[in-house]
Amino acid sequence: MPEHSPPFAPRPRGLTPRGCTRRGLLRAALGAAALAPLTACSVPGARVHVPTGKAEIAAAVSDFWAGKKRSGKLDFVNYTQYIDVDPDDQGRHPTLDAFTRETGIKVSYNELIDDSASWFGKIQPEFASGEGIGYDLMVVGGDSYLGKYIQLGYLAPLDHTRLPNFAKYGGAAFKNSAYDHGNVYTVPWQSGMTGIGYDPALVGRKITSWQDLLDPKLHGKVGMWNDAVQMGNIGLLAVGVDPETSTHADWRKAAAWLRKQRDAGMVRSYSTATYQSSLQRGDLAASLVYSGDVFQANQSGSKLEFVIPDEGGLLWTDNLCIPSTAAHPVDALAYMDYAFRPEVAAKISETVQFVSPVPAAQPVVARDAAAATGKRRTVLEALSTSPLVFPTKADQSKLRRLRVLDEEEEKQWNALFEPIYQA
Amino acid sequence: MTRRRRRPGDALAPYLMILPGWLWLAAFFITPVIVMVSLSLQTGDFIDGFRQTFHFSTYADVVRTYHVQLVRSLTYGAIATVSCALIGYPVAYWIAFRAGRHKSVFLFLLLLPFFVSFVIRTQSWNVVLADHGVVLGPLKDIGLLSADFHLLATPYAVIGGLTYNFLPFMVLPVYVALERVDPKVIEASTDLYASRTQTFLRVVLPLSLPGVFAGVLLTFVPSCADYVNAGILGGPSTTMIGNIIQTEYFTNLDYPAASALSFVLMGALLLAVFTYARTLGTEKVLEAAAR
Repeated sequence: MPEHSPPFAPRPRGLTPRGCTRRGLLRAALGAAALAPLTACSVPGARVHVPTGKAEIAAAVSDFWAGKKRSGKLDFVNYTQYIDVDPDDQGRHPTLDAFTRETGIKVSYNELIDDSASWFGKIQPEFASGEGIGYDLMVVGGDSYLGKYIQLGYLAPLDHTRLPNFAKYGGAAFKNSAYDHGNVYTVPWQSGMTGIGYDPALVGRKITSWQDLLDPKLHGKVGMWNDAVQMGNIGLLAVGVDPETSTHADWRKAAAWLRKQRDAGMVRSYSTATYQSSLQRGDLAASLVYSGDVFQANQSGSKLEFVIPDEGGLLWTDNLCIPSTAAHPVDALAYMDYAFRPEVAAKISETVQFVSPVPAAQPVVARDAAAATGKRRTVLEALSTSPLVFPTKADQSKLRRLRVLDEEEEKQWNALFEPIYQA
Repeated sequence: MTRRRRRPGDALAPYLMILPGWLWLAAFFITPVIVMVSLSLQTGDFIDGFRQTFHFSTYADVVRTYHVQLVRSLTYGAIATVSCALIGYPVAYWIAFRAGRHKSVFLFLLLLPFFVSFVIRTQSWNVVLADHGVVLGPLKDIGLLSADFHLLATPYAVIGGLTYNFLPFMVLPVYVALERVDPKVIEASTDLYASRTQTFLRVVLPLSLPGVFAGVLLTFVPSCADYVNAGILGGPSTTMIGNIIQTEYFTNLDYPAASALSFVLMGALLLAVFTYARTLGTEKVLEAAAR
């Protein structure tokens, strides 16, 4: 501190009026100068008009696609390990190679997406600057980020006249995803179910209901997630409400259920990063899981069960979309349609083992299984008959979709559900 | 010897020499801090944009909502720092005085884990400390621990992870300080009939305090702000402030709240560090550290 205390007794604070000193004025001026840049860096909003209604959408589609030509190139960005790989050469993706052979379109395939939030954070500035993100095709989760992409005008409206395979083979359950009714901007890539995964040896009985996750016998052995979207929707199912049509009052009930579970000491940890390995090691007896997790764990020797509880499980969909700034959108559209051919969808399912949005891929997988030998044959046979990959009608009837949240609702939703796992 | 005539530019020379340093600070510290302060006072949402409204109550809101996690982070950070000092000092002492000509080997071993990603090293504790893993399994089998004892998903695991991850940042500066202790001073102390304990307490320890001071800064500040350990090793009530900031920023896209929290954390850390410096009687320590 440069100020020296005076050699005489200090004057009592507040008893003497503050004079207008030179130093005081200088400070005020400096203060104002320091505040000036604070007002200069506001973050501008970028909401665009989102076309609604058939005519408006059709106009947006023809506007976007007018004059666009195939270029022979495609830059595709995806989540990690989310497409088929050649069993003999992990670096090759047979369906992409076949696509290139058939169409002459060279595909540059990248796996750079870890989760919706961080990917959005990464590419949003590039969208905002109008430069484009360098990709023509990307996979986005069917969560509120998809809503943001659409509201900010970052996605190209799809020309469905050039997607005949989607119309023909896309399963009805997977169309019209939560944030994109009518598939104006997206088509499903892979789907999955959220339910309960458990180790019967540790639980000692069958789990059939979300209420089983309150069973004192599982005290401290239950895994839940640090993900407000999934947790909130699961809470809604647990209190017997269909998330899609839920009200704010229902949300509070759901939050109360989740809080009860936490306060009873049922939950060991809220983590999307560790639940899979913890469940396989036996640190968790039961956990929220994606259907694909259990299938993959069992392929590597675990004996876990997956159940869609009686109150219902969640069906979510990751989607393919074309950024509005894409340099090669026509090529991207061609690939989109290609991905819905049953033999292509089957090949992808054989590797990624999530729920395929193409039900007609099931017999193709069965055919591939019959033609394969050894371990590959057992895996493919298990896959073609697995209700985790091709859900049965009964299972499908128990699946519910995520609640669609607008900006204001999302704030309230997060304020309700985040404190549960961020205590 | 002829004295060079002073030219008018000479007076500027020292300033020009530190200019790169200032430019660096301005670009990578001052600008981000101003942007952060600015953001923390804005209101709005991501889609419609944030506007500067000097909304100071964001600070009150985030402190009210997250004071538990804030205090917890400082506590975990402090415990981890003390543990690092208790474990790290003997290690540094041993390397400095007892390792002989193998010093560089041991220093290299200390740094070896850095060749593997931080996240992977933390994740691997999940395997080591698993409920029936290599450590707890045998102890449970011989009945030393009850069957439902667990370390993972507890505060101990998080603090242990922080201690493990930041230990080298304590050992290295302490080692450097100990290394610089002149053996002649120790000899002199022995010549004056000081016992080994006295020599350590009155000669070696005071001379190494600048290293401990630097080590404390290097471990305390990052461990309070860490979010990886709580995320990977933590349980239902071990959330640290770093996890909250991450959620506010990336998941909620609530830039004002995230900025305000970061600023509050920065303030709390500065306060803690200055209090610590004051109590330690520090001008001397800082001076010695600068030597």
